[in-house]
Amino acid sequence: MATPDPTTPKSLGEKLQSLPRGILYLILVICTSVPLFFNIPVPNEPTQAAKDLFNALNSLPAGSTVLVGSDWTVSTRGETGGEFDALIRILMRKGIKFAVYTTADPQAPEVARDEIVMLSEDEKKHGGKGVERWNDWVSLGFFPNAEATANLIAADPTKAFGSKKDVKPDGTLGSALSSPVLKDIKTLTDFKMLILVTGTQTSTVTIERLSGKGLPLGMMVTGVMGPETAVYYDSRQLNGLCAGLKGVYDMETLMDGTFKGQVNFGRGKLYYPTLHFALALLIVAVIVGNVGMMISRKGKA
Amino acid sequence: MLFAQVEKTFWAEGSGSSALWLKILMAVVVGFGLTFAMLKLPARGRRTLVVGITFLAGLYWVLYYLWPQPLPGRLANGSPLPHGQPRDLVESVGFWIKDAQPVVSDFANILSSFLLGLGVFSIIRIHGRKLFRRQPDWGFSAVLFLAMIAMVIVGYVNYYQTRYTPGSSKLELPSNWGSWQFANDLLFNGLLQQMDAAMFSVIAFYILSAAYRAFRIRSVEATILLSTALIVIFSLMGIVAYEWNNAVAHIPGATTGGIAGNFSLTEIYKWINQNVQTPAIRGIDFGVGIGALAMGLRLWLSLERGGASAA
Repeated sequence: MATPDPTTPKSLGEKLQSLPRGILYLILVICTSVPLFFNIPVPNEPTQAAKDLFNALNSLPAGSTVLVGSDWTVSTRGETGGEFDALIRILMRKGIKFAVYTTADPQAPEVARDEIVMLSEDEKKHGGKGVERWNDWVSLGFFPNAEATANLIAADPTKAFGSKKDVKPDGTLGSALSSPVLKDIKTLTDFKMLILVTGTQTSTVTIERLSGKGLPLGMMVTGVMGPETAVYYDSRQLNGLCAGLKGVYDMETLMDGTFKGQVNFGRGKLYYPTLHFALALLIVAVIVGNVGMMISRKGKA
Repeated sequence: MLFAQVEKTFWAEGSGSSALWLKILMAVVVGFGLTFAMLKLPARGRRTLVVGITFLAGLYWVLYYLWPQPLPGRLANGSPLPHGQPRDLVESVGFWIKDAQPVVSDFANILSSFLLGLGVFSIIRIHGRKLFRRQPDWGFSAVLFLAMIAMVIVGYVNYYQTRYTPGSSKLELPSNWGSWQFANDLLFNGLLQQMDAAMFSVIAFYILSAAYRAFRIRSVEATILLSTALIVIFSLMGIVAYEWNNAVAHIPGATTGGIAGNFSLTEIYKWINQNVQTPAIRGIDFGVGIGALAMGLRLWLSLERGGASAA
């Protein structure tokens, strides 16, 4: 087979199809970083799935307890971090107690704890109440086997969390079940809702084991996982769904309509313009490649 | 009396009590003893043992889902069920399966935890050999060990201080941190988490490069795929969706139930999502589910000729 002569100058079509990788990467870096330095307002219409999730959270009675699955780490913080922030701010403002557990990654409990402490301090700084560990929320830590843990939570949460301890305000350890958060929890349906923030397949495990048991489920997932999780929202196995960066911005937009004058916007508003530029670049790159291919074909014809 | 219905288990000792520590020590000794005994077994005997345990473990979960569950509360004549008294053998087994679940789930969690130990052992074995034999790139192995040891020491000291020392709850706030908390923050949040995020963000470069080089309209199928992808991408861009929907809204009849209303970006995406994307994913999931079932059966019955069952 004849190989192309490297000394032959490339046609325009060939050039358009073979832009140097370094140039593409440089443009991507510029497109994704420059918008972070500007406050660019972007109009937004929240999806019905995000509205349903927000309404479900907003209608929870004050003083009730929800279970929060935190299966995310910093690798997906652009999406799941923003979702977690929005969720925790809503729970704090509504006075809802929450227990946080993890089944995906041993790093996740520490990431969640740090984030809750930071959010609580931020809420207090802006006139809110914040939350106190033990009295308003507990960290149940990491469970290595997602399937078995989800099954056990469904059957008997007191057995699932029976061995877990958390730090009391006086610095001593106590059984998490005796905390104000979990003291009234005897069965699965004593939790008013389970919201899972995840960047992994624990969403499927949770839906398979916990849906249809009388506990409302909400999911906050990455954009990549959005379509596969939307299947369960469409089948009404989920009470609401927040997917990807658009989902974060949806939640922040909805919060802004409800919690007037408070800190509602965060990562969603900050990163959404960046997503626009990155997606626009992707479209332009695909168009350039295809135009190059067409020019090359015409040249050969 | 069934094992799973025991009210007070063997392990129900006070937290941190010497009796509990003694029992944990005994369990470790027995565990090592059993492992050693298994290693001494002839290959055939070992295989029989592994196959047997695998079958029993799988059988529990099969029964958990398929065995009739005991009905709570009432006898067939409507009178209350005497406490803890099953009506027949089927219900006895049903109670046993239900009661055994916490024990089986604890086993599953403990066995899964062993994977962490296995990973650490594997890393130490491979990189230790590389380091001591001065094989190529041994410097990276040295850095790995240094990072691992630093993380373990700092992590455990921080864990101890934030959970077991007086006033530990105050250490949540950075303003009360000591040197170990700062060290932990530097290693965990400052290095590990940031490197994790950096590795993940590299995907963006690959996606752009792959889309530019591979996404060509060479066939009808590719054209349909590209058009659909474009609509989905546009629907994620708030500014495009806003302008598109506004333009459609200005078409006469669009907002009053006319056919033009179906051409807003939101409606087009909804149609794609509900009529193309979701059914396709359901089909794929169904296929994956059947595959997983077949694979699960093969593993349960030890028909797979690999791993431990081939020992």
